[in-house]
Amino acid sequence: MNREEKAKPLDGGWGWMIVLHFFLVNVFVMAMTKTFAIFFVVFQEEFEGTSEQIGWIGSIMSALRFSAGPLAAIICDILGEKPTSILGTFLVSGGYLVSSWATGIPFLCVTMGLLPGLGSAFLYQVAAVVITKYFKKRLGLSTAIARSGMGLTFLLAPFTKFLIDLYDWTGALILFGAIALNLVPSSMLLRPIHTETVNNSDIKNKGSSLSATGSEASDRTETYCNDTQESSIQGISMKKSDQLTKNLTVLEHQGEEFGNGPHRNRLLLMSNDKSYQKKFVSWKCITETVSQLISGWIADQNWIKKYQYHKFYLILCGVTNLLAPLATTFPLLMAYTIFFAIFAGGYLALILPVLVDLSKNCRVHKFLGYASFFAGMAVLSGPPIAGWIYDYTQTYTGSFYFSGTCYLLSSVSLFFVPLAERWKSKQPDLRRTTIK
Amino acid sequence: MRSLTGPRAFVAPGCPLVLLCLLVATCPYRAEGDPTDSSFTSLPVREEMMAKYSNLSLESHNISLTEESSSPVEKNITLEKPSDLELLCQFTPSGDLNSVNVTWKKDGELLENIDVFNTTKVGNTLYSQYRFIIFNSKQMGSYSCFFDGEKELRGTFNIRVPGVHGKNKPLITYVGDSTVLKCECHNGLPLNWTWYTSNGSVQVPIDVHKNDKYVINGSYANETRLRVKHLLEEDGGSYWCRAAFQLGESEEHIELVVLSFMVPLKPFLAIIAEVILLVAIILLCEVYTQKKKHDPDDGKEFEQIEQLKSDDSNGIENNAAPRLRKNESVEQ
Repeated sequence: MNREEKAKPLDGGWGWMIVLHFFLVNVFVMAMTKTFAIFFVVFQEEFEGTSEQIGWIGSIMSALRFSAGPLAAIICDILGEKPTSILGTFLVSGGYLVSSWATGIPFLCVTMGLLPGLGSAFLYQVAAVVITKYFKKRLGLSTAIARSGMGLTFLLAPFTKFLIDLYDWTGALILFGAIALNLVPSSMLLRPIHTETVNNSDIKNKGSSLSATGSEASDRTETYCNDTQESSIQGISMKKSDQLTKNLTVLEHQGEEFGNGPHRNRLLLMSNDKSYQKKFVSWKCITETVSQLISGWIADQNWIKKYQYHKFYLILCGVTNLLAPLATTFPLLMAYTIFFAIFAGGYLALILPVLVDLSKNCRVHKFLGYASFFAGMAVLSGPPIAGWIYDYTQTYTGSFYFSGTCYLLSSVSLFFVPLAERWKSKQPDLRRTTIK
Repeated sequence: MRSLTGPRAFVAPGCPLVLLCLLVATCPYRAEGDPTDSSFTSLPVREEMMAKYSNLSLESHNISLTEESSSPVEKNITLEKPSDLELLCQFTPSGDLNSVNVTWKKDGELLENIDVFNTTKVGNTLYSQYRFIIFNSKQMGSYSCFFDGEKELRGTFNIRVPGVHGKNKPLITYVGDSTVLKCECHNGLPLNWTWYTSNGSVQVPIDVHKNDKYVINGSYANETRLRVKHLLEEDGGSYWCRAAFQLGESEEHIELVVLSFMVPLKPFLAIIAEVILLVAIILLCEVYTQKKKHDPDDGKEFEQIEQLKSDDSNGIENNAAPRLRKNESVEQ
């Protein structure tokens, strides 16, 4: 039976079902965030709270969606992937169902902020990890296809308004909860698969010194992730150097989110005309989706290492943002939107593949958790910082400079990857000499 | 004051007979109709009015017309309290000023008392001023000044009470809930508010004291809230809020829709049924594929057992060779 479970990453076949599930998860997770803006107005009328209080609900939901990543990793270790995903679905839909009986804003903070946030973190984390197990060569393309689900959510705003007009917000929340339950059958598609990790990542064996021990290494890294008794001293040392490269990516992710968070709404604020806003948003969505697909496909061709692409896109994002204050007329704003959407789509599609490349398959769970945690902190702190900058300077240029700098800073850590690799490849040499 | 110069000139010599003649002469004006009624009664009564409404605010509104303005020029005036109103139209014709005639109309009817209007010419511009006191709702409406020269030009002053705003969309609630219908007035302070509900096509005022169902209150004078408790399906329908001012009333219509719980429950149950169906399909598929795996597995295990048996029988012969090799490595 063991022999049947160990299979090579499929890069297709049942993997496309996983892509479908990840697609649906992206749709729902993004839908929750976007439709919240519509419910915001409704809650303000109903409960007569201040914008700040109601804004907390959305902030908790968005922040927990990332920050609960480590928790999701732990629960996944305990329960397994399918149960965690189903648990996440029940949290999301249960949260929405209970919210329909809301009596006040603190109630909503728990039922519409905490519960769906946790649930979506579980869902997202599990889906991302399973897709890395199923895809290796086509990871970029498959992730990009799945992430294109985020672009579809612009259809959901009119749908939400329609539901609220028909059934009032209580009925609309109940129906959303029911629609979210559709993720249960799609979570059941997550068949467990155990894959061999072939040492084909960037940490290539530079010299022939490691090739002799190559077969032992591959045995050791065959992933039963909780198989700690097989990890020898070499395993531990590899873990440590992994940690180094991983921390770099994690911090870089945080930097991205710092930039990305406050930036999204600012574009809308800069253009005052409503029709322009709609144009910007729709063009941005379409361009970003297409750019993600192209970037994923290019990265999969492996012409150069994936993190180089990532670095390239991040730098371009930063430069675009730094130049953004120059865009004052409609054509310039449109050009900024399109360029930024192209580069943002490029790097978004590559987050997961780069993460997988820089870590071993086994540790994707934990590192994704760490990265999500830092991203969550950035998401929580980004908008208030941008708002403070605006209040202080009374223009939006400051926020754009801040966002551009964050992007550039996040690309800096990727420059250190070759250094980290060299340091890591030196470690086993030392170990081997001591063993001898 | 200007309007009194004419008659006063006769009165000044102090002839009571002339006064009687004057009263008789002015009778036809009084009989004629409402539009001139106000302007005529303002003649002798004006000082009384000024005394009665001691703090009348002077509202002055201006329309300037040129020959290029093809569409009629309109100005909206909102008044809630009695005021001393001055409407001024000015027109600069390209041709001769003297050929232009000015007339005033209220809601299409000609205002005939020319003495109330003051038409002056300054340079090349013709000014026509209509000054009067508005103190009741009959005076509200559209006042227009007409200049008929080469082209007929019109300027209109729309005098209305402040409007009331409610919700444009129907208010959706559920049976057993309580809801609040809100009306507010942005431009003024109503004297009082009343709520009406519809009984067929008739407006029925809502009696707050009849039972505990309706409560009317408002935090500010320019808004009113009707709270309806223990909603039933019959409570759905049209509601009107009416704001009363000194110069008239304005009302707004609000639609209330009361749904029973079954209405959103049906799509909810439909979606749950669809989810359960999908789950059942996937479970069945998984059981089916697992069965398929087990059956060939049984076959495979059988084959493996056979192979092991044959290996065993062959292995006795091969055992010597590996043992030798092992001994060699140990020695090294």
